[in-house]
Amino acid sequence: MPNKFVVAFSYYFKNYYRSRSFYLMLSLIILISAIMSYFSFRYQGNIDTFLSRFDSKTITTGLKSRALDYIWSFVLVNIPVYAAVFFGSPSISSEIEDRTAFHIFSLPVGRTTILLAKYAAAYAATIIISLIYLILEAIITLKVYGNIDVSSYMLSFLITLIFIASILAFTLFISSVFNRNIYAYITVLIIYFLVFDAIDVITSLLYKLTSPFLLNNAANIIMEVFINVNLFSFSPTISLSPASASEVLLAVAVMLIYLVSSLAIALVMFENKEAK
Amino acid sequence: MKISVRGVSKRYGKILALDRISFDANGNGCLVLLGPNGAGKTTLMKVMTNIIRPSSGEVRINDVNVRENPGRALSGVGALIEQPEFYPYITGYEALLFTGMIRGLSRQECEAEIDRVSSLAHCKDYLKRRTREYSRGMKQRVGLAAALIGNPDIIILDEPTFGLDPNGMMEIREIILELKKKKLILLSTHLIYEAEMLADQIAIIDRGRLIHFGPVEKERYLEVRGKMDGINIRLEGVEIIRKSADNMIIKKNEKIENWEIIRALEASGIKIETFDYYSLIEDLYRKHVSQSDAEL
Repeated sequence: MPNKFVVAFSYYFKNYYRSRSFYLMLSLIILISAIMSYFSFRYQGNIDTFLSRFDSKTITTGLKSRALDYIWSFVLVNIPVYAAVFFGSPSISSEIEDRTAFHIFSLPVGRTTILLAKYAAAYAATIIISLIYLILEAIITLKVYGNIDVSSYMLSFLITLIFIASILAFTLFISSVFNRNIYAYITVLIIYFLVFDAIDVITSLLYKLTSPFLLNNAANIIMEVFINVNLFSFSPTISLSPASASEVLLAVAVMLIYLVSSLAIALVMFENKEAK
Repeated sequence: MKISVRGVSKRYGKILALDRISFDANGNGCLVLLGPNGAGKTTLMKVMTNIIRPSSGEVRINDVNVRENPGRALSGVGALIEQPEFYPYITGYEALLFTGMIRGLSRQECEAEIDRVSSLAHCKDYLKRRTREYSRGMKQRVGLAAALIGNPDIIILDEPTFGLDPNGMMEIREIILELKKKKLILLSTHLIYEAEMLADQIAIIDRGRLIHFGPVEKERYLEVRGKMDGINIRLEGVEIIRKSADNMIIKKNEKIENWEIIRALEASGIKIETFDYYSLIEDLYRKHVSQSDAEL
């Protein structure tokens, strides 16, 4: 007897990778990668200038390559967000809006299996998109500086995988609340880019610290494992060393909390979803 | 093959969509849910197939509670609820393959089943196309094929002829007539002639209430057309239900043969123009639905 999860996963994955959203994301990522590649070669010298603002004595090729990866990762932290919005946001709401639930819900398969298969398929589609960028990042860094900090790169890669899992789970949770796709799309974007930022600004002003419990702040660790520079908050961190192990663990823990809690809520909501 | 509906109610805010509906359906045959638009037929079918949850009561399929164990309860059920929609970037073939494999068939078994059900539902020609390119009728046929894949014992069809052209409607009805010989079919419609053609049992639903449930004894009712003004017929085992100057509806008991009635009618002076079976569904529908209107 075929495994129902595998059957559902392959079904949903086909629907994702053939979708317009997938090809739109693919085109965007190729375009962004091309722009990043061009600027990596064109403005190579500016990395030195950027690093010398902090500490001109310790500038090595290794540091430069990490700085270049930092700049690439700056873009990377947003790619999964948009991919998750495309693939995750409509995953539950579309079942109701597009009326596919009438067929799916009446099949002899648990809704948990359906949701986890959808989640895994959206995850796979997002990974493919992000992987193109990550591979190009490594190739360009190697081309420009002749070396790459493998441990930092792999750590960043691994955290990116966890981040994709958590942001996708978060979009699934939002999607489970609504029966209309457009509300799910807009709500995810508003929460991630406005509400989280607003909370961050408030806590930074009041307590002079960057809120570690916000997913967008936790995602910055993807960059900070190369060099620990974060100038985009009210309490900037400036260090050319990689982020400490405790900072990495805290960020990963936050991501995992978002992942588990969002997925749990989405599962409960989906289990009780009705297609009226 | 057994469906048991026990005290099922469904409330949407202040609206009571289903009001303590109970009935049982066993064995092969076709149970038709008949009722006007918005009566609650689709809501009841959605409760039966776990698409929505009842506010109270329970549905058991083959003695398994649908709410508590939908996977097991629906394992032998094929359903076509409302106008079916499939994921847009999936082909009809893939949708059927998915449905079959979720019902526990192997890939090889599925391929053979797709061949069988797509021939039956006449949707073979466009199965390789993505479902976003399908017309409503195409989706309906693929939806029907999906309901039949894996040869389930119980088939729940919500207005299965909706959106089809007249030929398509006839084809679907013929499929149902064939299927009901071996399976339990639960079908909803608001078309009385469709119910007359397909039903072995009938459940009339209006405003969320089950107002009539019972067998359709087509063979026990006869309609005689001809001049019968002033003529009385007395025959043991025959009861006149309705009579006018040129038409008479009679109910016979199981023992009496039609030729005996014809002979008695002719003997009493009636010149018979037509003599045919008569379905009481329309009478039942009118009686019960208007009664329900009057009560409200």
